[in-house]
Amino acid sequence: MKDHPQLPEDEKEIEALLLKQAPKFKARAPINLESSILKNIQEHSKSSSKRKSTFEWKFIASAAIILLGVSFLFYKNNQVISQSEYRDDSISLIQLIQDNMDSVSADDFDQQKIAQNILEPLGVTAIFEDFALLTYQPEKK
Amino acid sequence: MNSSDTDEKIIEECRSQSKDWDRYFSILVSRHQEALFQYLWKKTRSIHNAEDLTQESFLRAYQKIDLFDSNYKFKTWLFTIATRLCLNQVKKKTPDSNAEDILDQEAQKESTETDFGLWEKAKLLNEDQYTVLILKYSEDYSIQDISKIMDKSENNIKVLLYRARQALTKHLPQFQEIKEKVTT
Repeated sequence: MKDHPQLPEDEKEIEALLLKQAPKFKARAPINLESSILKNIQEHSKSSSKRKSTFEWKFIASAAIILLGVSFLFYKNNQVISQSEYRDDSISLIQLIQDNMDSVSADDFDQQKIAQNILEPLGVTAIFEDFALLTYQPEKK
Repeated sequence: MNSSDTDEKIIEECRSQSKDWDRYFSILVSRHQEALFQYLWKKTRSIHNAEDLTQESFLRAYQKIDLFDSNYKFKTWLFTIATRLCLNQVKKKTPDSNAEDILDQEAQKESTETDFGLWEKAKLLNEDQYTVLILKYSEDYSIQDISKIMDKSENNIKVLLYRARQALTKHLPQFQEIKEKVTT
């Protein structure tokens, strides 16, 4: 052979024998082999396109559900935080005002004065948009 | 495109047009199914396994056609897929499948000729040596192509071939009669 131009004699004989016997060394192929290969490919092709479209729909539906879920959770979470923060801050503020009420007369009970006379000296710098708190009327001592 | 085009041309044109791909792929199936089946039968010696592996090889080729490099021959690529599938099957072999093989071989003994001369002895070699012999002397592949199919270096293939031939020389006396016919 070209790959081994100078083979020993016995190896040449082996080569010659293998080559001579090669044509007989075969099996009878199934008659419908070609058609079954093509059928197999066709079936796979159909099922894979079906799987693909099902997969796409499932993916879109899952993504939409996840997105909705996350949005809802985010919304709820924010709501809970803002409500609880508001509540906590409101209670603290009321407490602060009550504790320092001695230095505030009833006339001074407006937003600006609370800020100047009570909150700022205490280091409270938070700004409250909702001034529902300021409608709170403490009992006059 | 017509059916006399080379495999590589068919694949290339189909890729660019991506029309009637199934129809053109059937030309490739028609051209190579017999050779691939024979190769797989020689490797497995089971008609049932060879048929399954032939189907699986074509299916993989169909699915992975985008990975085919047109610089290579389609048949070589197809045989590479088949060789790897065959190797995987040997690794996965279960006791049940062995029993199936025995039944398959029994059925084959009844239906076909089973005296394949020196090739019977070749089957007793290790898997790699036997595969190299099939690809070289039965399928007529070059060392370069065999190295691609078996994913081994060309030197490795030459060593496997040398050892396979050496191992078979001890059986030569049994084939004295045939040998004389060959040399005359």
